[in-house]
Amino acid sequence: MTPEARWQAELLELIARQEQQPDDTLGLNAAGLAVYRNNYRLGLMDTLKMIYPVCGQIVGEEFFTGLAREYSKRHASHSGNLHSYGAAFGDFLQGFPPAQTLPYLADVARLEWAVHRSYYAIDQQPLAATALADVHPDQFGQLRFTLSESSRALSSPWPVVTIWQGHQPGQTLNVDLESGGEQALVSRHAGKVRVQAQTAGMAALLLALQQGLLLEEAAGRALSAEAGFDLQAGLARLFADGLLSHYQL
Amino acid sequence: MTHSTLPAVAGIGLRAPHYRQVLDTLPPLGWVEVHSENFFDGGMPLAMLQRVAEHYPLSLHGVGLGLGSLVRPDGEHLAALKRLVDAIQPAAVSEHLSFNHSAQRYVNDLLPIPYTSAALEVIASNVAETQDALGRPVLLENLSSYVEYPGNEMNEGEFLAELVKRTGCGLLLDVNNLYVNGINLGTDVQAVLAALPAAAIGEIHLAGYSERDGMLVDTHSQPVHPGVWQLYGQVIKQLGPRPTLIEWDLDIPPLDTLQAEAAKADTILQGARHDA
Repeated sequence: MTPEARWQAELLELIARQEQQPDDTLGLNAAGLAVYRNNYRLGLMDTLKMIYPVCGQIVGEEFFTGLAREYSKRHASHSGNLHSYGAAFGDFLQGFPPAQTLPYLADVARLEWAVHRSYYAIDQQPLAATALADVHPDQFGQLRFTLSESSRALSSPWPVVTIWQGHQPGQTLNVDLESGGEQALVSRHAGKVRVQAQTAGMAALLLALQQGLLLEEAAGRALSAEAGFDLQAGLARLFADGLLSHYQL
Repeated sequence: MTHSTLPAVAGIGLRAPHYRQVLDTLPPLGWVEVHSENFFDGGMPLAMLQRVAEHYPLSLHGVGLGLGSLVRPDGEHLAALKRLVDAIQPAAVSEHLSFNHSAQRYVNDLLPIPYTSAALEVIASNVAETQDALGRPVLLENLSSYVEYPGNEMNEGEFLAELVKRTGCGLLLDVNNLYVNGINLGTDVQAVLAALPAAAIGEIHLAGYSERDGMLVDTHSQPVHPGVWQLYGQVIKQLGPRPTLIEWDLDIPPLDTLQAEAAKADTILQGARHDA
């Protein structure tokens, strides 16, 4: 490593690890280093604030700032693009004791992450049902579908869709936390991200496809999650709503 | 190949609070610039940008590639930038002469590089790799710095001039950055300016700094300061009219405030046209 590369690596560490004292040989003035440390901390915290507005509304600005500060200390950025920062915020909330009084918060955060990813997902040509014209019906069970980048399914023991929708502009929150779990589908239509609750069968189908299971396994899960699930209609919806991007046989 | 096809008038940095208003009312703006990373991948942001590009000359300004990092450019980031450049076909593509990562760590900021011949070798190859990938030259911007590598062998202007010579890249001269370095680090502003190859300067940036603990911080949160306007006047007198951007990224004011700042730059640009 050249002295120049070593200096860069050490400056990056010093900015991210704010408790560390700089070595004199790096030639860093204290006020200058403070500017970068401040930018770093506030930049990551502002990013979280933008991605997680519903969590922010639920806990209030002050508490959210504390959560964001703790997260940014534990999670470094791994990309030059800040839009990919903050993926593990839901997992962090789940394991962070001060957030335990709001046990649904972690899943609300996971839903907000899915919304954020959907908004910025790459544009793809949705898979059309006609693309399967050459597949013999006997082989349908062996199909493996890929959900489009802007579509994501999520299951929660909490009414996360109702909570999320109740915090959108102009909406009022009317939720019974004891009302049981909800399964969310996040998808994008003409650029707008949509969050919808799914029936147990549809949710099981989507989650199984998202995990990369074969269609026959996914169908089995959907039918055992919801007696009388209309598989035909469920599959038709995957195509009609453009939720799939590829298939493999 | 030319570095930029932006018109030599004032433009503004287009940020999220003004997207709607600009697309709905199509105000007279010389050109607009956006941050490339906000439009990576697709969806609504990219569709919006394509509409903007139908009405205004557009410049893509990257804040995240970190070409001055002494490792190879991030392939994923570069591929995303290429997709965007191909989709938009902008009038200019710019990046900063700064670093933001090592093999281990990212800091999403614009950090100052060592101005040494060893660093120049690596960075020239990063710039060349980027230009090859994009199939066009990029403009590299001088930086506002708050610390300095202790073993610098040349000033930033000389370093940029070497990059121009080796890679055929263009330059984006940020007058505010140069001004704050003069105050914060005692940089010899005139020496940096004198070192820059005038023909390569395809764009100029103007912005307002704020003051924090005795440092002038390049926050893009204020009107352009009088000292910076003065330096800009000198630069335009020397170079002739160049595409000039008003940048505002924090505490973003109403659009007409940005337009008023742009009008001040246009007055100076017109003066130079008259003199020429």
